[in-house]
Amino acid sequence: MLRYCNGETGAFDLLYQRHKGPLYRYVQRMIRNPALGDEIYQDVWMRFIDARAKYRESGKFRAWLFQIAHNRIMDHFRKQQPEQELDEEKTVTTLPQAAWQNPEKMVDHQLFADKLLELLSVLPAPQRETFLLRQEAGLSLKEIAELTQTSDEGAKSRLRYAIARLRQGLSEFKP
Amino acid sequence: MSDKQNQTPTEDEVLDLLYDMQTDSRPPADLDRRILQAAHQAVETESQIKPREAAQWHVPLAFAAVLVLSIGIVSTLQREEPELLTNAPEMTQMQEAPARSQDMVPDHKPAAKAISKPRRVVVPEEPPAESRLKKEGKQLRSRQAEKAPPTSMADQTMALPEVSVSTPSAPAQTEQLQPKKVLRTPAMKAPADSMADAAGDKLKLGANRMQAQSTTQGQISIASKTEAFAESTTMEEAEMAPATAIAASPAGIPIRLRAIQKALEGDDKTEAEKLFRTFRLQYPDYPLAKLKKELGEDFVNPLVLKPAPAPKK
Repeated sequence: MLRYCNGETGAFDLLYQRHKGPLYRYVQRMIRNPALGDEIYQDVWMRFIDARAKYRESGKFRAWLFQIAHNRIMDHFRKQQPEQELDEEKTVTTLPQAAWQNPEKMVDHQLFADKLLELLSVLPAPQRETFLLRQEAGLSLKEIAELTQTSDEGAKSRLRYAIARLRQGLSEFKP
Repeated sequence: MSDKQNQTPTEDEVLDLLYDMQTDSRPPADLDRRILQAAHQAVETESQIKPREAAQWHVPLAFAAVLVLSIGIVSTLQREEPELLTNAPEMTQMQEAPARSQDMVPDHKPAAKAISKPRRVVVPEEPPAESRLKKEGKQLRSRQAEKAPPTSMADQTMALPEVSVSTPSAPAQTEQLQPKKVLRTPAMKAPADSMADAAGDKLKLGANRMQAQSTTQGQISIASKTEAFAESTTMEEAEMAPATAIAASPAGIPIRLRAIQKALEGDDKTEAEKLFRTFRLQYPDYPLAKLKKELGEDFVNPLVLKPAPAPKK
């Protein structure tokens, strides 16, 4: 990142190749609209380019990048329907308990994976974000708490609830 | 209990595995290209802006530096030498005056050499020349009054045994005719002030007739000037006239000889000797035999053999 700040364009290419996948998935799964997701994803990178001079080598680069993405997504939610998006709790499709209890019986794993994404998309935004930051960015609970401006316990609780819901949904799933 | 503890990480692992199966989602190539292009452009623009910004700072900085230096130099000059800045023309004249008077100082050099220095030509017909002559006459008076030697002006000038004298061959010698450079004859008995005034008037008269001459025309113009001078002045006027004007011409020879003869007739042998020495310096080529004939061998022979007295300091 510092090399890119000093004018090395090749350094940016490396950074982009390394982080584009997790960031793209994080944005898309938070926004749940492919076209809008692409737009916001590009906007995140533009903000990153503009803010490169402000980067300090004090923290994790990935945390800083996802912080920019988080802020951009929150701006989007506030502009759209914040009360619906942030507090929405859709009914999770019930997954069959038997399937979850016997993972070896999950003949088609892809079906379960698709179901997981479906379950993820209907999670409340804070829980979904916490889960995605954990899975995609690989951040610790402390880092997630700082990024989302919550307490450590709050972040931990969100993650626990997200996993419980996903697990419950998958366990009730019958492919 | 232990089963529960073992089950939970397994469930999480299954969840992670299931999630990882969906991680093949990547941004489209078009989006990648646009972002990379934007990043490269941003760096290039920054590298172009930086030198421009630096140049924008350099210009006012250089201007300010020049301004500060100029003010500093001017203020320093004003503090150290205020007269130089306020009275620059007068100071120049005053500085020129000692330089000209140095020509009068005995330097054992041929007169022509001293005169051959390039000098500023003063066009006497212009009105400022007259006023300048008067002004310089006053300056001479004040300068002489300041120095105030115990002896008279005539004595002071005659005390200099070797004097560089202008010759007819010298070009553009109008400045040499200024009062401060006048060689006074012993016959000039008037006080210093009246002498300076008379010399200034005569100079104006002579300067009006003399034009600024080129080097080749110098002899002709000076010769014509001296002829006109000889015609227009009586003997007394010639005695009061500047010595350089007389000495510069052959017409001055009889006047000088007459003055020496007068001094001899008046039994003022010391004065006659001084006049004789001055004459010899001014006209070194004048035949000694003629001098002996006109002034007498008894007077000339001892002076020719006797060395000149040491100059007064």
